[in-house]
Amino acid sequence: MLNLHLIMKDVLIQKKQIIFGFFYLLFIIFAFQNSDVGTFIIGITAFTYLVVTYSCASEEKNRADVMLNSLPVKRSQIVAMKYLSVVIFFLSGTLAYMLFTGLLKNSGFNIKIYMLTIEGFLAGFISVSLMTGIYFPIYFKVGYMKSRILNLILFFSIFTGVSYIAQYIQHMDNNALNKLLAGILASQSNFSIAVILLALTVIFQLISYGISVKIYNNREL
Amino acid sequence: MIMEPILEIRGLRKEFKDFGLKGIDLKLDRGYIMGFIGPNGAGKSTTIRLIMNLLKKDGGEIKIFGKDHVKYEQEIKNKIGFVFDENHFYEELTVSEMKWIVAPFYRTWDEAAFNKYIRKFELPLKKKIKELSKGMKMKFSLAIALSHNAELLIMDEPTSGLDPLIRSELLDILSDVIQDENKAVFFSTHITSDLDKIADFVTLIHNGEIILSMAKDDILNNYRIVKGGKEILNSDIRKIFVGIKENQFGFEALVKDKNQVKSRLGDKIHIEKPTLEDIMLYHTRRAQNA
Repeated sequence: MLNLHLIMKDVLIQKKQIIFGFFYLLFIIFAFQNSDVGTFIIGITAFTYLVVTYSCASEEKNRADVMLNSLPVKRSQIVAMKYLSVVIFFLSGTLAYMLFTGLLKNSGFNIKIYMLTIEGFLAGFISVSLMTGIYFPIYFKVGYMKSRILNLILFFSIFTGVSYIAQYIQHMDNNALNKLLAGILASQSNFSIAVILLALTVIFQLISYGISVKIYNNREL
Repeated sequence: MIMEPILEIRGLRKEFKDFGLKGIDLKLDRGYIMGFIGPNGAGKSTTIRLIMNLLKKDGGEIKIFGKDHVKYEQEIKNKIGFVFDENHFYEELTVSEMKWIVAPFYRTWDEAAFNKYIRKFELPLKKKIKELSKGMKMKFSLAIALSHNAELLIMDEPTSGLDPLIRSELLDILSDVIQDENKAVFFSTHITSDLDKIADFVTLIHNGEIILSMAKDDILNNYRIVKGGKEILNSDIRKIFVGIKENQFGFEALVKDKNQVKSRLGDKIHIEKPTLEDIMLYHTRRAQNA
């Protein structure tokens, strides 16, 4: 049985960070208004990065691992809740983004707005999943402090990398590779491409989760 | 019916780079309080963390409620109340938020009991944990530990850093808990006067080894401090001493068996009752000299 209270804990311990994250999202909508789909990818990745790292920092500061693992709960569940909390943060950030861009569009502000599409949503999800999927096993191995710098590098490379690729695909030139890619993509419906990408991301997350559980099960607290 | 011990440790080993538990044994029955004493770094916290499976043992066996502590971990932890020396709750949360997170983990959470302890300890539900004093934090831990019908309380230095008034309050609460003969308390401390008041059994650990583990009354009835002139000391006599302090006027030593020393030295010596502090100091000093 999943203990959703563990996710609510992540929300509770960082009410302020989540609100700050929403403002940060708003800032990115303004600052990166020419980035097209990149606006959302950068925004949602930065938002998730902010709240996830704060939650990990808080676990470490309070040495909460000792308390959590003294409760009748499996270590694999503690790990699972961390992964699920990312989904919650991602969805709440996405909703906030849609709300802000919707309001701004109708506000008459002179600003270029990227309205979220399914493709953008998917690209954001892949970006966030890549970041946390790589980060969590490292976090569960060495803790927050020791993984800080690595995490920062990861964050910047992923959000710039994924938004670059996403933009590149959107404005593809006509070289051979692109034709091939375009051919493959064209032979599939958008829906099936989305399903494939989503499935790959979920598989990646499951593998990452498996590694994290193995690491955390052997961790000495 | 013979009841199984509530906590039984056999041959427990754990290796670190510079320290290790060298195959320790201990046993605690229901209805009793065991004090786990020893100097800092003796292995008290390591033992407790191994019992809680926070650390992985390298060898030996730990049984709680007669069951393997890893195989039946969830079932066992449901019936354990724990209090650690330092706060491990989220400092950013209020008392009631923290309770709200912890309570659902326990199948047998008793909200009425929790509210009773909140009132008794005068804990402010709306205050953040970081705003509580050290004593209040400990009381909050204790309120959680006592509110899910735990049968075994495991406490790592619960009294350290507390003022004497709160310490004595805590000890009274533990005495109260143990009125229910189905329960037991295992707590570590380096303050031996805590044990004078409430412990039924005393286990002394030093350098990762159990030096003694027995009923407190047996210890206090049999151990004695002897004092006398140095002229009576010889190698045979020294053998019966647990530890000895010598100066230019004479010696002071601890013996395990008052009758043995009386029959050997009779009225050449002065005999006194030791405190648990004396017993711990003599034992650990001897080990240091060995």
